[in-house]
Amino acid sequence: MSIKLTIHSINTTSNSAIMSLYDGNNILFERKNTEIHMNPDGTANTEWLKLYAKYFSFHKRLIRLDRQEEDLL
Amino acid sequence: MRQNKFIVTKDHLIIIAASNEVGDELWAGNLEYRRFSPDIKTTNTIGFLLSGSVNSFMNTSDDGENWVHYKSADSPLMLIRKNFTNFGIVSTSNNTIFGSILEKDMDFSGLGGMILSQNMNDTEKERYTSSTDTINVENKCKVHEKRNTQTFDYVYMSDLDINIIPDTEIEIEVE
Repeated sequence: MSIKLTIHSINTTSNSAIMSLYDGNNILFERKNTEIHMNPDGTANTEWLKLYAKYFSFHKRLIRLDRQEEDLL
Repeated sequence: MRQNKFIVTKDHLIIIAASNEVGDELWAGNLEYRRFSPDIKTTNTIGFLLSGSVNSFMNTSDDGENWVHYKSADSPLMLIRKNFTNFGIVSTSNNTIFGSILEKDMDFSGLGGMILSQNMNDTEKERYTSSTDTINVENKCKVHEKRNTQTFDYVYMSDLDINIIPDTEIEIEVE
């Protein structure tokens, strides 16, 4: 299962981007305006974006795992 | 995994811990708060074992952990302890439910106060201390803490690591 981060547009003035994030068939968010880290030359910082996607996806995977587990009480 | 449920009645706090694995820590005596005096609540606690089995231990260390086996027990069982502070309970079955009933009086003094006051905002504290409301806390936290069933030594689990997701699994596309 792969994680896909799509950057639809970048606003270099506000350091933000319209992005979508998918974890396999799971839609984590779509076309969401998010503050991002930029490189000094104004391009997207792909290392930071990878880390962001990793943290966000991992967190959501834990939530899905938690919801799949039946309550003991 | 251990899952806890909290029910606050007008006069009592009921804590229930359910376990589905041998070795789940059910109670470990609030060790980090021992320097505060136990209050009425922690010295008049009723415990009950509804299902499964447990091993219990007494901590003989004043400033650390030195657990000595106390009793092995099967459900159903009820116990009243003078002090739960240096007391530890670990599940020895895959279907254990342990609970305790504590008086609400004096909850915010001494040892109990140190624990509760750090985990409640003013609104929650107001509802908790209400003598007319009963609260059933909806969220039931899941805890993965293990103890050796024979010695009660803490079993360290590896930390969660986001790098189980390799960089190669992440695709970045710019439209």
